[in-house]
Amino acid sequence: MSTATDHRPRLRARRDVVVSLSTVVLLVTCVVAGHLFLDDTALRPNSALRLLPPSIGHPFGTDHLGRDLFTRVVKGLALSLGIGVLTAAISTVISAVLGICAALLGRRVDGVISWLIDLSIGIPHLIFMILLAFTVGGGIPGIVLGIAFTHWMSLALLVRADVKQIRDAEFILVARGLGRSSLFIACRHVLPLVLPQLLVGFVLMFPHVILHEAALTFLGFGFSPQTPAIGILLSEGMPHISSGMWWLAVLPGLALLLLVLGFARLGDRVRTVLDPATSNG
Amino acid sequence: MALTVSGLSYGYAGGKLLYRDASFRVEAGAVVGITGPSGSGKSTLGALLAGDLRARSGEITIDGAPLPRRGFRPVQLIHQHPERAVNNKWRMRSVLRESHEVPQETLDLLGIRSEWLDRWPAELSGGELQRFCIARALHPATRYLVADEMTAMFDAITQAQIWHALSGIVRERGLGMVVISHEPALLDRLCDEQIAVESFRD
Repeated sequence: MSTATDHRPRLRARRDVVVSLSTVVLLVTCVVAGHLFLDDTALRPNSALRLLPPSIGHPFGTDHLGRDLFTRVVKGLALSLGIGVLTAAISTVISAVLGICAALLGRRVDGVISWLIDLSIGIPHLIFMILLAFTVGGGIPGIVLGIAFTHWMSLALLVRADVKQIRDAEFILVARGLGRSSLFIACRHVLPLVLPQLLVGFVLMFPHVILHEAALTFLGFGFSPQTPAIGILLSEGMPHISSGMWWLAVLPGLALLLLVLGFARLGDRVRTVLDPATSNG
Repeated sequence: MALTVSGLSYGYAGGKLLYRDASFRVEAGAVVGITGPSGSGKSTLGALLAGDLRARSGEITIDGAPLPRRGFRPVQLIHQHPERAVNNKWRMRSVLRESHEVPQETLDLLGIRSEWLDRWPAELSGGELQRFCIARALHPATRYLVADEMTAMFDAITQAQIWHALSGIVRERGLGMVVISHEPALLDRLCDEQIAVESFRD
């Protein structure tokens, strides 16, 4: 009855954004601070400290070469964060450019881009990703390009649909009548209107990238074994699970899960607040 | 010097033709009224004249040259709903600047106050917004104006003010104007000539 009741779901959604945003910021701060301040000597092999279970000195225990697992996990997550930002940014830009071009530049361009989207969706993305990473030669470029070039389609489709709804708006017809180019219309009229969609896409892309980076590395197509990437830690830890040394795989896995869930939740909550259709519920 | 329409035909996909072989001309400096009941194709004719739609057949020429496909169009359309014709994420100053640096004199004639320039579209009334849309359409290169039910949404006083200001500017610049409306009193007052859209039907 009262208007106060009507605002409650929206307020709750906003509070959720604040909560999940703080979680993510806290996690990221910890990882970045750890990456900057943790002592690198803990990463040197030390045969006296091999395969120790978690303790005060080594919160995550040590691995089969006597390296401190906590330090390795923090360094690995820092690497994942960097790659996540870079890859999500590249794929968001691809989605935005192709989605806007498809909707704005006429039927022929739309046909070509839609065909490209269907084609890319049609190829099993894990295989495509491995092929791309392998072609570029593994390492950071292989991972970044492999994931970015296989994960732009759904956001591009969303952007294309959004832009199609506004491309015949009167203010855009007026802009064309005043002689404004498609580039001007795309940058000044269309981009600000699809920016919320892009922001949500970027945040939701992020956990995806981190998981795929770990998967690629786990399968041997990502980083070299010396890099303290989460995928490497997981693949090194797996054989030891059966012999009772659970911390080698479980603790890095949990750390990864925490970061990924934090970002996924944040993206979800931001979408709820920005999208009027879902925020009314 | 005239906006000429010859042999124009247009119909929406799957529907009957709205006009068959329509021809008329609007001399520079003349005001021509287009009348007709709702749904008879008045606004579609306005969109065709402004180049927002392309005719099935026939020709529209401006002072002898065909309508330009790209770049600035010398026929400017003023829409019925100003709030849809401006991007609500732009301040009014930017809305004007998308067209040209509108001289202070034009702003004064149209009754646009300088403090409105820094407002968002949502902070202005429909009548105030429409004045901006008119100022925007009065680009130095504009030769003809098409006013599509431009003041149908406003009260009598606002209507009178807007038309008074615009008529003065149009006369002074020697622009041709097409007034689309279903209000006989308004057309009788403004127009040198009136055309009923139904006369283009067959």
